[in-house]
Amino acid sequence: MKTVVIGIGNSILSDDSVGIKAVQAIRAAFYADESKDELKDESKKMRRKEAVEFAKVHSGAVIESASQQCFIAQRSKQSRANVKFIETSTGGINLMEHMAGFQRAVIIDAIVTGKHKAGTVFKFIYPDMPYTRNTVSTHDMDMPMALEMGKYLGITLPSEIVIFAVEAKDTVNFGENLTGEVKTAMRSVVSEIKCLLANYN
Amino acid sequence: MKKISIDPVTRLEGHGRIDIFLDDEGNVENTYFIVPELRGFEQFCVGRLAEDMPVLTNRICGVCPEAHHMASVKALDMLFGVEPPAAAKKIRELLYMAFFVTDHTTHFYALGGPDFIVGPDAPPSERNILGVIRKVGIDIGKEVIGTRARNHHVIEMLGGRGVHLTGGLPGGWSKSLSKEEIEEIKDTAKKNIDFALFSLKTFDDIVLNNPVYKELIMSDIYVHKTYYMGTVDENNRVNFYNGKIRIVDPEGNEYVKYDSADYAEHIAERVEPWTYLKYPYIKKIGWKGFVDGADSGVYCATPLSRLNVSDKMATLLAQENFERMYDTLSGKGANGRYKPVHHRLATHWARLIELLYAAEHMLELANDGEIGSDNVRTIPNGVHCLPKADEAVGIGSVEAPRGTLTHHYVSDKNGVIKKVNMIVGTTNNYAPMTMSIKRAAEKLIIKGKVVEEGLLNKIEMAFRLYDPCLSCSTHSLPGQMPLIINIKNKDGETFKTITRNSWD
Repeated sequence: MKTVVIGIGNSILSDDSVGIKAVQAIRAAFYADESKDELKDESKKMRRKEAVEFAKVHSGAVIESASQQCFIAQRSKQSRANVKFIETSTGGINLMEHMAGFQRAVIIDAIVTGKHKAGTVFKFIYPDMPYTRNTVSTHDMDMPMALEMGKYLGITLPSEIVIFAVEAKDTVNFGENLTGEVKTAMRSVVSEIKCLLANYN
Repeated sequence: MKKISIDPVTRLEGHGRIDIFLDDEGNVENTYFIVPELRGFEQFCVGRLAEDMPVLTNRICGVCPEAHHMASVKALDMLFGVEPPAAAKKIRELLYMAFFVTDHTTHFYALGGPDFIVGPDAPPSERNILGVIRKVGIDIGKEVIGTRARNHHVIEMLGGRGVHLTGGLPGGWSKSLSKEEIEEIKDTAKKNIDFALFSLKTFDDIVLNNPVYKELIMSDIYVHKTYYMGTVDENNRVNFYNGKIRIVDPEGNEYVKYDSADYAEHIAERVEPWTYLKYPYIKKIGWKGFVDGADSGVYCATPLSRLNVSDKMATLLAQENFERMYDTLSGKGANGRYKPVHHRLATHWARLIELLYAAEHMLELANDGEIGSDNVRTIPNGVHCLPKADEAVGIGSVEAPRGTLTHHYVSDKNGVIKKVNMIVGTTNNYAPMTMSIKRAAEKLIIKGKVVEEGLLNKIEMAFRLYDPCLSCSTHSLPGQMPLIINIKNKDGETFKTITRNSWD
């Protein structure tokens, strides 16, 4: 089954970038140990090198125990071909278009409920989901409407959509870094999604 | 004084809010459109290398990164004192046409269309793109998605990335076009033309041929007689990528035409204590408040404004449609120009005419023999400091779908950014938008009696026609705009609440 992992948010708006950073970390780990015989061309070597570096910086601390082990065990060439990683910044129709042709989707976004501590992780299974920060677009529609439209038009869309939303602390100040609470939360999200991907395969 | 607040209930930060204040009689005294600010973009940019600006500024907004990328790279051309080769300019413009096609298409079918095609009084559950598709046919839904896909592909092919493009460099573009790519683009452009013509015909059949909708467009709820701004080429024709900024007065006479580099001489920004938004106005006329007319510095910069400032369109089919719109809605004035159309709902019609122009011009550019040239870059030799100055200035502007977009940078002699200022498309329209909201509210709230049914949508229609990009103007990415109205009495107690689209 083909799976798409989508990180959504603004990469330079502090905690709003949690989805983008999470998908980068998962992708980096996913490609980090491609066996050497697969690295036939320079671009692949470069990608591996970047991936390893990125993994060290962003998710090194959580490369751990069971989830990581099962992730590595399942990370065959075939499973890699079945998973696509996407970074995007707008919801609505755009988000639906990114899911077209996949059977499963995992979405990571920031959320501001204002009721929960920063770094709280929510896991929603579509259609049981609230508005997270970026799954809606002010210029067209929200995600449920976009999915309904896609289905109506006969577009193949995932039968299973899981949304991870991290309660953000700062979505007001421009900056490339996450706040401490959200950074910690991101690591657990990354861990869980790695395990999820391993189980899918 | 009574106060009515229309508040998105997304519970997200960075959201907009509309406050309506009633006087003692219960009539609308004033309305305020309030958008909280996001902070620190200038600070974020200061100290960075100027050449990074096109890839930083295009992250402000997920909806119009292409517009920021283009304005930014044009500002860099000036900052580095370098003229891009002809092919590079044409590639930029070609990509920009593909962007306009996707943006205008999405707006019309997802946002503007439902009010007309399904009907402004239809239940909200039907007044959406699905309602449009059910009415117009499933094939048109597929065509909307297909148009987006085709043009996104062109943007990705030319820009290097699908969302946040990287192709723009000071002095040109990072990649030339292959013959195969040009052929594909020609095919896409032809399909875009067909789609634009279909969309205009749909507008004709469903909107203009329906007396009720036509009356809605012509009704004075949505009329404002202000100045208009837009970019025109040397023949005073609409141009999205290059030209001079032209402003016409409410009668349609040219008030001024200037290079975007001189924007600060002509445009000033009004700060109001109740919002972080700044309200640009025509400097020499001055700020007279949120009022219409030739004595008020308020101007508007939208698809309709661009057509209002232009003498004609630069492509054949768009020109035919341009003439038809003005013959229908305004006619020619004493100066021989078409008079400006002040019916703001006609912005939707203007948007479709622009869609057709973008499609036609895309084909013209793809057919231009020069666009396939390998010469796409003039390599700059450091930033261009004025004699005896130790800093360089770069100002660039384009027409974003939502209005004139200006980027202004100052760097040191090494090209390190010291100062950034931007006037984004939507910002130009904050004063007119506030006025349009007030006008709609005045018609619907009389002597404390609120026309509850349709109030939300009629007020929303007032600002939806501008397609406000709060992401850009506040540099934030808010959620959708579901609305809540709280109607408060003199003592500030809420006596009525109307909500829609709550996520509870």
